[in-house]
Amino acid sequence: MRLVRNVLVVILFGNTFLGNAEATRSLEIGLITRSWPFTLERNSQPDQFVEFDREELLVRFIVPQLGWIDVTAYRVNGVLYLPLGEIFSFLKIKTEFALHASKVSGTFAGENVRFLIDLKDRRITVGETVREITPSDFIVTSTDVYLRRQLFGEVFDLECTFDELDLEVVMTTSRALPAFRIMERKKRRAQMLKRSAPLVPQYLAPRDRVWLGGGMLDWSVNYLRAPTYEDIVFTGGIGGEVAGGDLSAFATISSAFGVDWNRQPWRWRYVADSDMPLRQVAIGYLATSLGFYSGMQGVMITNVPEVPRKSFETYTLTDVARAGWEVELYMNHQLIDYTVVDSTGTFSFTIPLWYGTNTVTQKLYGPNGEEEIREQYIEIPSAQLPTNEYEYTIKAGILSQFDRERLGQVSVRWGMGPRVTVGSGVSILNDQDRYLVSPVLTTSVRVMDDLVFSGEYVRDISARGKLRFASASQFYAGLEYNRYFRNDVLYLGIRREDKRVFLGYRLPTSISRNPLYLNLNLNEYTYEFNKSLVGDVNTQLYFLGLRAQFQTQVGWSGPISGEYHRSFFQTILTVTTRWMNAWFRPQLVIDHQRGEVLYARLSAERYLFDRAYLQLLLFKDFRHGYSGMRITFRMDVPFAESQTSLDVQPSYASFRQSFRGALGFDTESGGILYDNRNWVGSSGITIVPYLDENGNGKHDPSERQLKSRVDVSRINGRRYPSGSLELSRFVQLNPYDEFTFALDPNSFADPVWKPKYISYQVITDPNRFKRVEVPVYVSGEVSGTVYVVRHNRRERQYGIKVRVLDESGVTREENVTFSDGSYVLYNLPPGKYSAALDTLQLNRLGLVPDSLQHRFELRPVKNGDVVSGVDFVLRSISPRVAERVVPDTTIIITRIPAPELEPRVDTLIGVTSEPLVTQPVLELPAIPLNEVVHFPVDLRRDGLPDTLRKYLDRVVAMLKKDADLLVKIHGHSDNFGTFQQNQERSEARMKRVKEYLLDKGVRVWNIEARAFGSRRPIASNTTATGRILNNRVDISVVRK
Amino acid sequence: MRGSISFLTLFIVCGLCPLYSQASFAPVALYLDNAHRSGYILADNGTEKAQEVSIEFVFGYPVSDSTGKVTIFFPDSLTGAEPNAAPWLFAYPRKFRLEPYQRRKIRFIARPPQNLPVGEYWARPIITSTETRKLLTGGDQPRGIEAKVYFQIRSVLALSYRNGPVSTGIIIQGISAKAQGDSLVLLLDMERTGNAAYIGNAILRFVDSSGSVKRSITKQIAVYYTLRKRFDIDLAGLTPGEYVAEFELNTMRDDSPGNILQAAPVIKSVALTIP
Repeated sequence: MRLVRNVLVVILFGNTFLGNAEATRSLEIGLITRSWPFTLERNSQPDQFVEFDREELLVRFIVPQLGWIDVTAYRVNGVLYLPLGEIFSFLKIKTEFALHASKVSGTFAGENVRFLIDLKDRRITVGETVREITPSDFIVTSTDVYLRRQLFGEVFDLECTFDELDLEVVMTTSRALPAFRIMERKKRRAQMLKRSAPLVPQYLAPRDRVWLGGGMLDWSVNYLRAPTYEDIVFTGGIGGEVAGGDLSAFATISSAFGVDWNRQPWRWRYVADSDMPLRQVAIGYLATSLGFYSGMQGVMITNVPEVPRKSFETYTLTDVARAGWEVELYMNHQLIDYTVVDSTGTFSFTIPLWYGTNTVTQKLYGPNGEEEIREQYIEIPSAQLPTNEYEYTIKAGILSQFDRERLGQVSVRWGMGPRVTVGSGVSILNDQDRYLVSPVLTTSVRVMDDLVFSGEYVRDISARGKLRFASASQFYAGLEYNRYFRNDVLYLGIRREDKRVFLGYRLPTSISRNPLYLNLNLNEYTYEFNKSLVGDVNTQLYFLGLRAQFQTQVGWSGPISGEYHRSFFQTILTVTTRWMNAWFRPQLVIDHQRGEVLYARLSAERYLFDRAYLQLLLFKDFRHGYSGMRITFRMDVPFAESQTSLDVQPSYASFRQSFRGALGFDTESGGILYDNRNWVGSSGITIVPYLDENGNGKHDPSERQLKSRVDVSRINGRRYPSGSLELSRFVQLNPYDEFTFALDPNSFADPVWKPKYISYQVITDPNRFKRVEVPVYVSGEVSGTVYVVRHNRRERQYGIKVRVLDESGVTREENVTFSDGSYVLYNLPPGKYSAALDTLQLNRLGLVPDSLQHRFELRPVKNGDVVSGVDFVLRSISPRVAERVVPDTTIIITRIPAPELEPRVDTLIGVTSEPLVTQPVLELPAIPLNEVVHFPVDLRRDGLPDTLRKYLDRVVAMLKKDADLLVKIHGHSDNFGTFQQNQERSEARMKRVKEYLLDKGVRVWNIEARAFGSRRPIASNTTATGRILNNRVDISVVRK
Repeated sequence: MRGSISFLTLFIVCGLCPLYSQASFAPVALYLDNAHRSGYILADNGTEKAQEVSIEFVFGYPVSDSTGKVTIFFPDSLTGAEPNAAPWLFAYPRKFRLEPYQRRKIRFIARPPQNLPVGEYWARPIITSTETRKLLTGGDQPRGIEAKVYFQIRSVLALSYRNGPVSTGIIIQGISAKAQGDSLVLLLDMERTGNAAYIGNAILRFVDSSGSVKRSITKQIAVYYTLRKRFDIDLAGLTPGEYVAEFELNTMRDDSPGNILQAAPVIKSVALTIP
């Protein structure tokens, strides 16, 4: 066997033998335009070259579940060699070629296994495994290293089976290759994005106001028996809608104390539609703010939304990463968006921010399986308003507690920007002839995304400030300060000042993969005559199925102007564990000053029969020398919740029994509903699907109710058990809120029953059940066959798009003909339609239909109307005449000025109702056959260069005259990117040209299109000019 | 020789391709009644190629020949007296494309005629699946002359519609035995009673004179009218003497327990002598 030089790129011209590297290099440029023969090298004796018996094969490399790629392989003396670079690029295995050093290295990302192919030392190392190779195991070319097929399995666990008949290599592996992970990630991403996509309602049901309606009733009875005391308390609440507003009233009667008429709250509230300057008017019991710990009876007007704001503003997140990386964006651990980093290395997302903590996570994935995670916290306090939004509140009334002083409050808040909200106002307090006028200032500032300051000052009443920091690494810290002023009008308690420092941290260690948390708090409280300082360290850890919480507290106290002295030092140890479906919580309080146990307690609790709950509590106070027990039993029945508790101590025993529940009057659906929770102040929804047999969109008495599965995208209430009724009911919903639901269109008993709208958004009515009627129609279907006339015979044609348009021209359903040429389109409501083919597709295929569309009607019949036999017949356009067939709403006009030799083509695309325009194309000068012409194509620019387009127009003219010609389009690229990127860029160039020709009416069988990546340069890639020349397409016309 | 090789290749291809290129359907038996007129099966395309699926309903039921071989009998012509549910059964969709790795429901609905007599009605949903051909885009580039074989897989399922009160039972009409080489062939002849098919198990226990079970064979049976079932007992290792072949027929099937009509177990035995 003759030997050749070790590791060398050798390119031969035809079968020419070359003797040195200089000649090889000089020839690289010269031969490219003609052909691409080359030789293979192997063996180790220098200065000798040989050309082996070789065969170049285009082999389909198939990876089950992943896909396939066509690769160039070589067969030498019956042994198949596969290109390592191309295959690893397809499998997304990170690979670096250093052919000058005879080395190829890379990493199986994810497994973190490195490999090194050392061609000089004849060795392949994968992880810890070393495999010696022989010269017959590999081939080196200018662009890739080819390995013997079996080596892929033996060394890399990539078993390649070669099917000589089909020229297919099927690869199987047990490795978790990056390509598999990328594919799985794509699938998962598609599913998650689909799941997290907001439900877009097709039907909106607005707020429905009534003068008098609805009706919900809450009730409770509490009985208490103690040695010296017995009382029964009845509480009742009613809720309804009066004069378009919601009315709620509660009354309490005690057998021991009678009725306290000052403590019977009621409120009527009118809520206007959204975006009104006056959103709410309320009369009755109102909450107060600005430091008062009491409600009041009075009047309020405000533009504050009745439903607390959920979303704040959108935020544009811009970041940098390596070009081509994929970035997934998670908000609060839910995938919401995805992008690919552009060539500048930047990417951005527009994020909706929600009130509260927003955890923004970016997961970055490299092309070879690399992964990176970035996380940040964005805190939006509820006190912040979106930019340029304002809120005002005016209220006046009598304080419910204290001495029934009169209070008036005016407050305004304004969102200055995305980070700052400011507010001001005034509070006027009146007690007989004394007035206290207190100006108010408030602010909320997001100093940074994770650092928030809020403050409030009310003159002569209080001042508060809070600074809070929270990071993505589960660390938080903060400072809080409260000051209480004394005034002459209202006594606000003995507290004077609070100072607080807090810190929480998730320790960078864990026990059995369970995290450890540490919290530190230091609080100083100043009262009228004394002060106290309390520090505590709180740690939680999980082990052996137990959760242990240690809280060590140290307290100091002293007179207001004196020194502190230590008052207590204790540890509270609480352990929680689950055993026999019950939770056990033993607790000990240990006094470190005296070295004794102060208090011990054990609670055990478990659920019984799904509806009942039992808790047993035993405790002993060692310091005061008493012990006791408490038994609590709670049981839920459909109409009430019952709770019984018994406290037993040596000198004291008490017994409590309570019942509570609610009644509702569903006036629209009829009947009284009951529940074991409270309903007053909430809303209910009743969803009633019905079969709209006459299609009038109304529920007529003769039309039957149906049952369907209802999916609720977001719910703040709960589903009410519907019992025997075929209804879906939801209760305890926020009033005036948006309630969004979707019906499962396949959940009706008859598959031809389809809801007119699938998704609904309903604005809930307060204290009422809202009835939402869902019309369901009986769907019909249309079917037919698409034929093609070939050789004067009708043949059934698969793969043709058929669509059904309604009377307004909107596509309702579409499908593709089956292998027998038939099609069926379902789910069509009764009505008039037309069936049409995709004329763009027909245009590309060179087919014209006998009729562009067929009209038909589906009638409302019991089991759904069926229209069949809506057939289409297609005919082939003569290849000798260039014609354009375009959609009837689009026209392409081709104008060719006669005097010019070179055709000038103007393309105008517009919408018109004019008939199709077809024009023959003039004869154009032919180009020589077998001539390969190179055209640089810059992918950064749209379309094709003028010179190329003109050349292609000449090619088009030739092909339309002679159907036996074939145009070859070969796409190429420089070697700037990775193997895969270069291949993709060359394909993109090739496709642009191919698309152009197809658009010009060239038949697909007259085109041969291939892409070669960077494997066939015609100039040096080390210069800018050379790269431009290599980023090209080669066009040639040959006879078939 | 050339013909033999071609036939062999075709045989191998035909034998292997369906193994990895078909969709699957479950469950294989569906029971409807006048309170539940619709049901569904799941179609699962576990392949990387889209499948075309179509469904039709044919009246048919299992029958057996004289050797006990069971086949599904599809009558060429019907008299109108058969409990045929096929004319009023509908599949939705009845023809569709199942994308790679896609799973979807095929819903069945019965629209029986009014005044349908009480009883059980049968049909065989035949589901045909074949690899779909792709959408023609005009960009397809032929690589020389290509030919492709498309395999069509037909799955025959069972569907029963029960109208009103239905019951089933079974009678063992006879048991016959004959020696065949080293085996003993037992043929069990059964006839269904009641107005619904008998779906259950046939258990054969081959007991020696001391009462110990020497062989036990369990087979699933579906008796629509009459059925002959064959049981082969390997005689190797059995000592000559008196034996009892005991057949037990029961309806305790675990593949579709909620839908199987229950009937009292039937036990019948015959004495045999192995010389």
